[in-house]
This record gives sequence, C-alpha cells and structure tokens, in this order.
Amino acid sequence: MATDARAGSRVVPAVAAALAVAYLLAVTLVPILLAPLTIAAVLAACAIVLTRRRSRALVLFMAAIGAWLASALAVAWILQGEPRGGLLWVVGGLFVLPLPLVPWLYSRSFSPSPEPRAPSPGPGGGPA
Amino acid sequence: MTVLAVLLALAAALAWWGARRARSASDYFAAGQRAGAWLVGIAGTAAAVSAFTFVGGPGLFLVAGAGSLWIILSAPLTGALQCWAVGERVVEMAHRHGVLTPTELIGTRFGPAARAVAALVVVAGCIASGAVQAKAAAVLGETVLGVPGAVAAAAAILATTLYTAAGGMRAGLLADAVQGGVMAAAALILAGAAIAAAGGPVAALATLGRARPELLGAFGSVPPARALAWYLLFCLGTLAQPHYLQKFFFLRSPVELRRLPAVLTGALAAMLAVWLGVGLAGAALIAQGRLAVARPDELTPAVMRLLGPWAVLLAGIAVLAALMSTAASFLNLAAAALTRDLPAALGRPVGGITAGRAATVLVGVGAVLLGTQSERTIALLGVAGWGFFTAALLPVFTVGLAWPRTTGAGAVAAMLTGAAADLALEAIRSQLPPGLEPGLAGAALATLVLILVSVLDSRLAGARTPEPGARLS
Repeated sequence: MATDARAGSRVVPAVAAALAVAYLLAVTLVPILLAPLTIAAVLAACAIVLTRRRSRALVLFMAAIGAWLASALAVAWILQGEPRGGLLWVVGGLFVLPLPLVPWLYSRSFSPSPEPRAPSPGPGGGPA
Repeated sequence: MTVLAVLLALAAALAWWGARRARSASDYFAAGQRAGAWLVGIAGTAAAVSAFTFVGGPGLFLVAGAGSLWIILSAPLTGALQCWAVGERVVEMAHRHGVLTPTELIGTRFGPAARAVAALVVVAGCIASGAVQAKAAAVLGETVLGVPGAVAAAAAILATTLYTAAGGMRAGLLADAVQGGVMAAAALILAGAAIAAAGGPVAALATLGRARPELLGAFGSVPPARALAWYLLFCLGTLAQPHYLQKFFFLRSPVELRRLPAVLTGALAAMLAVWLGVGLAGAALIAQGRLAVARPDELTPAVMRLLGPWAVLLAGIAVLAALMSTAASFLNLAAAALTRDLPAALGRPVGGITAGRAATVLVGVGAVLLGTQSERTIALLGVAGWGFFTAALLPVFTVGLAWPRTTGAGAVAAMLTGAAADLALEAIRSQLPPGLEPGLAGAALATLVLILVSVLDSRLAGARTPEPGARLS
C-alpha cells in the first residue's frame, strides 16, 4: 500500500497537470482534440476514487464508462449534421442508456468501509 | 398575487417549525447530520436544479437545439462521479472531524488562510448564483403571474430567506425534499403536455426537421467544441459546486452513499425532462406559427399559457420550488461562510445561529438587488455562476483532496487564480474561441498553480512543521 500511495502521489498531479495543459492547448489550437480530452478528463475524475481504494471491479467499471463515452461521442460527431438522428442519438445514447447503469455500477463498486490509504509523508514530514 | 401570498404563509409556517428545531450549529448548517440517502438525494437534486433548468433550459433549446442538451447530458454520470471523486472523502472527513460545510472542510485540510479565501469565494459565488434565482423569479412574475418582476423576485427570495434564516438547513432540507418531489412531478407532466400540444414527439421532430433542421443535429447550432466544453464544464463542475457538496454533510452515515447516486440520478432525470420536452415542443409550436416569443426566456411561460391556466399554475409552482430550493442552499452556505469561516480564519469567535440568521437576510437582499439589475439571460447567468465555482474550487476539491502533498499555500493560490481567471475571461466571453469556457480555463490554470505552488512550498519549507490541522485527510 505504501508503494501505491507513493505512486498515487506522483500520478495525481501528473495527470491533472497534463489534462490542464492539454485543455488550454486544445481550445486555442486544435479544438477537435476536445473530444478525446473530454473522455480522458471524465475518466480521470472518476478514477480519483482509486487513490482511496483500488479493486479490479472498479478498474473494469472505469474502463466500461470510458468505452461507452468514447463510442457515444464518436457517433455524435458522425451525426452532427443529421437532423433527427443527431438529437435522438444524443438523448438515447448519451442520456437514457447510462441513466440506470452508472448508478448501478457505483452501487456494485461501493465499499462501506474503504481501507484508508497508507499515509505518505507531507512536506514537513507530517501525516498526509 | 395569491400564489405569492400563499408562498409567504407556507414559508412562515416552515420558519416557525424550523426555528423550534434548529438548536445547534450542526442543526442549522448541516441539518443535524441525520438524513438518509432518499431525503438527501431528492433535496440535493432540488437544490441543484434551479430556475435555470425550467426557464433558461427550454429557452436555450430554442436558440441552440440539441446543442443546449450538452449542458445536461452528463447527468447520468454525475451522481456516481460526485461520490467517487469527492463524496466518499467528504463524508469520511465530516464524520471524523465534525466538519459542517465545504469551506470548513477546506480549512480543516488546508489551514485558516485557505478557509478564509474559500469563504470569500463562496460568498461571492452564492450571491451571484442567488441573483440567477431572483432574476428567474422576476421573469416568472412578469410573464406568468402578472406582477412586476422586482415584486416577484423580492417575494420569492424573502420567503426563502424567512425559513432559511429561521430554521437553517433543518427547515431547508425538508423544504427542498418537498420542493424536489413537486418539481419532478411537474416537470414530467409539463413536458408530456407540451409535447402532446405540439402533436406528439414525431410531429414535433418532423416540424423542426423542415423548419429548423440545424437544431436537430447532434450539436444543434452550437459549435462542437462549445458543446463538448459545456459537457465537461457541467460534468466536472458538479465536483466544485458548494450546494452540491453540501448534501454530503447531511448524511447520517457513509453507508448511505451506496444508494445516493441512484436517487440523485433518477430525480435529476425526471426534472430535466422539462428542458427537452418544453424546449422541443416550444420550438416546434413556434415553427408551426402557433406561438411567438420576443426573448428565449419567454418560451416556457408562453408554452404554459398555450396549455392553459392549470399549466401556468403548475409551472409557476415548479419554478418557484426550483428557485427557492436552490436559493436556500446558497443563502445557508453564504451565511456559514460569513459567520463561521471568516471569523474562525481570522482568529475571532465563531458566530452562532443568531449571526447566521442575520447573514442569511443580508445575502438574500444582495441577491435580489443583483438579480433584478442584470440584463443577461438566465441561461448565461447560470453558466457564469457555475463556471466561477468550477474555476475557483475544482482543483482544490479534486487534486487538493486526493494529492497528499497539496499545501495550504497551493490551495490559496489556486482558488485566487481560478476566481480571477474566470472573472477576467467572463468579461471578454464574446471574443473567446468556442470551446474556451471561462470556468474550465480558470480551473486548468488554477490546477497548474496548485501543483506548482505546492511543490515549491514543500521544497522551500524543508523541515518546517506543517500548519496546525492542515494535514488531515
């Protein structure tokens, strides 16, 4: 766990900084990159839970959410000029489909007493 | 006028009930921390869904079509996301350290300076967001109730201030839950009736397909980059809205989190039906020549008038419920920041319930004054308020709580950077590229500042002892 904690303490700022820089560059230079960036940012936010508790099921759930979001955004991109098809996909694929599934995934992943992370030393050596 | 009078009478009764039960700071600011997932989920959704959804949303659909939906498309994700990313940690800290509010949590983790800055951010954001509700009440009064906008705004916010000031969140949570039930039922009924009036979903789509096909593409008339930025802003932004985070402090136990996303998501989906239903039907009715509006915000009232007096009454009650439940949270959060967080951060005695009541009234008056003066549409005011909290608080609640090496100086610098960047970019919003949302850009800059300052602070501090209470997680 201590190794995990040390790795997490490097991963969190590295991922956050990369996403922040990528967003600022994408919106000013390459707006099309906002689509993959959206998927990455949403997944990264969900994955914050992995800094507290880690399980194979949680990782699989994150992968499932990432796959769904990538597919949904790709189809929306294809249907951007399609009346009817575009609106129906956005409502059906991005809203209605995950409506019951994501809360169910959370319920399945819930751990009533998450194992606390092993403390890593703070800047002054205190508990982090 | 009758509706407003009944509203004030109900608020007075609720204020009396709440005042008898709010005996401690925990009662007043965190509803006694005794609520379960159902109550918190429905009340939390009512607080989250504001007049922005009932009035601004359908109006935005009229302008942007399917593009407007990207603001709400992340709703199925956000309940679980909130719990995974911040909720579990917040509930654990609230119960372990007796923390009552989001700003107090920031102080517990990052020290008194961060608590003071967070309090200022929350006060400014809550007054601005409360102004959105006052503005919506003004629109509702002018277009539906037939009373001057300023009178409607003052009455709605005064009624909310009355029960919030007297009973705090003991009264507020109960009121929010009742309002949430009313909003969900009204949203489904009104959306269905509006679609039926437009000839059913197939006829409405066919009408729009002929008259305004640009509204029906996957991104509507909005550039894809802006639609994606809205999705991201309103998805990640839920992790930084104090009125969203506030509900985690009301839970009686961490176990309640298991069912919370399902309750939040179900209630939210029901309430958001009005955005699509009234927006789609209203746009189709205008295309059919059966309806005309001068401004997008007039769409919902115009559709309701077409449906008949029952719909006008039901919509009026739903919008009042929506704006009052949201305003109640903002009033309570701002009062806590003014009377608990700022004094505590400055080393002064923390104010009690009486001070909280006075601060609630002060914030309510400020929200009405600001809301009745603004010329921006409700949807744009809502986006601006949401973006301010996202820019200032998202890095602290996500990276800050998850990364053990975040320091108090890093948190302070991030909140100030995010708030300043958001305000500066909002001032030039019309000149920004489509995907550059001030809230997201502010949060991105603030994240970089948080990491940089924390790393530098840690290195400069060397063997310095951490600030008291600043290293809890």
